[in-house]
Amino acid sequence: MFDAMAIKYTFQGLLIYIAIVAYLSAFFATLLGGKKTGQIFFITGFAVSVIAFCYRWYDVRHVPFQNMFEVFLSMGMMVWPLSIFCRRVLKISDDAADMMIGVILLFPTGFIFHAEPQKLPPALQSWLFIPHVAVYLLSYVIMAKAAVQAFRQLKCNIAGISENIVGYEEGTYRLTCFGFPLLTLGLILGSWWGQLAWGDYWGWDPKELWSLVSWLIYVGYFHFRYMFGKKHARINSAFAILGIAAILITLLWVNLSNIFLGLHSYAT
Amino acid sequence: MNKLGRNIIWLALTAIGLLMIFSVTGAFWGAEGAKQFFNSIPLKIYWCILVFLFVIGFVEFPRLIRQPPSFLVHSGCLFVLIGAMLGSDTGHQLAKRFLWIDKIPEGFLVIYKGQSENRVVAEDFEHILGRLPFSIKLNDFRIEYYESDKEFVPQLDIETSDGKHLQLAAKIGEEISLGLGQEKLKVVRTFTNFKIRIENGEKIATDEKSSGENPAAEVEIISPDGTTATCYVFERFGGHFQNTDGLQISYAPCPPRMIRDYFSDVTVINDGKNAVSKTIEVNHPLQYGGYHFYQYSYDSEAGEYTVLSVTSDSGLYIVYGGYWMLGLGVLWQFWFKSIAGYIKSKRKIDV
Repeated sequence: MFDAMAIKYTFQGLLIYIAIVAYLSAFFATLLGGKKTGQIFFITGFAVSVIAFCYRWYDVRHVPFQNMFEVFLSMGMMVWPLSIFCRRVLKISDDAADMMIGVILLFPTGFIFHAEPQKLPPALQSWLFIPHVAVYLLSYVIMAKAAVQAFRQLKCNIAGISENIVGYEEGTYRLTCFGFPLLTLGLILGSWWGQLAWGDYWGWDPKELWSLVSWLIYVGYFHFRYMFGKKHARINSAFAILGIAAILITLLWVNLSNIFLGLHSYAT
Repeated sequence: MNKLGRNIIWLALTAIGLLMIFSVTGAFWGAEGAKQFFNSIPLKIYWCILVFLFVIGFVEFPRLIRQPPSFLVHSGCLFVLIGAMLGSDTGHQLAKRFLWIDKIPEGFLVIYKGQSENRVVAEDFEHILGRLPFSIKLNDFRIEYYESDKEFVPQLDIETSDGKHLQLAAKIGEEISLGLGQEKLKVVRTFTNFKIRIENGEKIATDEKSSGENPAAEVEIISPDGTTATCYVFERFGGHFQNTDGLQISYAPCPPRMIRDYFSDVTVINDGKNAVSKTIEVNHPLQYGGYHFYQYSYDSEAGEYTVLSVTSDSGLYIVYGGYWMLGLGVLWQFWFKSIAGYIKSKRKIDV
């Protein structure tokens, strides 16, 4: 997979590179104090990534959630609407970090993962395919934002570009509360789908086990926070960072390494 | 929070941490190793302790019962655990011993076209695990393929004795020379369903297009001295022809096709009567008599039989109930309560 950079000389590739440049420009513009310009670039990046997503959908004739290229493309598209939602509803504003998350998510689609269209194998032809993957991807982006808040809380001497209306610890908690139901639904829907496709709602597959680990870390976070509140804010933050580490292993390591062979190998 | 309550939460956190460690360990062992590990005696004890911990939690924290979202989340997890225990091998053994419910936890049914079967076999498809109280008849098995995006000409792939690779379009009359002073190959005929018929004691190759598929090509091998020999090259059954001189030929009548879906048309026969008919395909299992039947495998050479995986539904609906409770509880706890609070505060501001 990583033997060579997978640069794409296609229209699809062009769209992805434009989106990356737009997110990157948004990030630097925001860092330099051009908040409005940053927002314009951010929206442009979002609009282009939506076009890239739709183009891919048209090209492969199914919702592009099948492989790593499509998964990262989809997540790259989710960043801007989530950023707006978090600012307006959850009162968490961290634009520069969101823009950088967009760059990080789209970078592998542009330079690492191959984009050859694949047909859906029989197991993926289920109505559960879209909700199962969609809720997981949404929760992953939200948990990534929660981890950024947690990281800022741990290193609160690092000045944030835009200050939250709530504190970083509270921001982590609000984002985790927002993402955890989606993580739970992803686990439940996946289990239900496993029962329909393979005859087992729990197959002890490495990907299933790592997704359970991710879920359990957040369960631990909620229990710990219930017991101690904000008294041990640093431990609360450590839970959120540990959670995103487990998510990264679930999403990347399980699929890309040969260590964890299992039923989810089509996602590579 | 009193000391006991605090200790229970610490115990819960320890149990969560242990389950995380077990899951990470299991992930390195692969699905089969993890399954054995999570069904081992120490882990069985762990599961029982976890159930006990939930029960103690309900007793010590009345809030878990009084508050519907908390109750749904925690009792949902408890339901999933209990359902999984009932559906395990040990659960089946206990049900047989104490409740006289004798069900096969899981296995496979190998059914040939037109035949009915009730023997559930192990993964080797030979060792019989038990018999179902009803039979399943396979009416038909078929595979649907994706259409190829590229135009494809049927072809013969040839490997000569000196390792040369050649290709010949499988069209009647097409010829190819294997090299200077070597044999020539000529395509005489192609078949979609090759069959041998015996007429007056002679074997005659025929193409019976109406029933089944067995693609093949008739090839004439012309020696440099002019003598000829006829050979048949099949797509299936070993996949290639090889003569004594080391010449290898394989036949590809169509491009490499990707399977879209598998279909097994089956009928359940109970007490000699047709009870249910259904087409089983991936993601669309058959549910009957306390068992679920899934498309698992098939006869890849001749398409004469299908393999269905059989799983008992013991505890399954308790697990599903737990999922509903957990899903609803989590949404209620983290989303609906916040939305309700948001609306309430908005109204207050408006007033």
